[in-house]
Amino acid sequence: MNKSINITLEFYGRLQSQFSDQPLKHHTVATNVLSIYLELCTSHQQPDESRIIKPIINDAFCDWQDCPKDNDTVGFFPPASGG
Amino acid sequence: MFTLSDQALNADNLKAQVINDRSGGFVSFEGWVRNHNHNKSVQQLDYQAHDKLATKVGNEILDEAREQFAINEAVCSHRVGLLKVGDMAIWVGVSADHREAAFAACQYILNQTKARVPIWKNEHYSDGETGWVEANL
Repeated sequence: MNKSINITLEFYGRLQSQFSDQPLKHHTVATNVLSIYLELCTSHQQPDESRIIKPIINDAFCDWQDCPKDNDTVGFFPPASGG
Repeated sequence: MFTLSDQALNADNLKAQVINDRSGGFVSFEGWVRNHNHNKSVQQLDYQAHDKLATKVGNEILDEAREQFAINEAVCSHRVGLLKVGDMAIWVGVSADHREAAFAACQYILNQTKARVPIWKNEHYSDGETGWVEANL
């Protein structure tokens, strides 16, 4: 059985209107960042855009297969649109 | 150096960081907030960034430009926060011995910044609606 963890979720750009514009406390047994993201897509009825979204853990880019630890902050970046 | 600023960009101050006696040319680009996009009237823009990673990626792009082009100095600064029509959103400046490298590096830095630096643009329209802008590369 997977160990449950408490993490904070942060969303940026348009993902704030799709998920939350405030950081969310999240309890999960998901094992990696992709599982967490897909869990969120299901609960918020949003399409899977993992092909174009970049995940971060504790303010550093990470891979979708990376596993956050208890009390980590996981963030999701949509494609950049600066300039 | 790549910087984010919540204050108006000062092109003269930024240029002073780039020009030098060994360079024979200087190229800059200023991106401004325009009053329309996709047939909608734009009143202001709200730029959001992930400060730490935007600065990291921005400086990586400047390093890439220094490796790929024969340039002497390169600076890029991007505004964050609420900007009104006419405000400068981004400034890119490059100095080089010769113009070709300066033009090419300036375009590279601009294009890569738009594509890779974690900054997002939320447009505020005249009808009161807002909309996050998708990448426009």
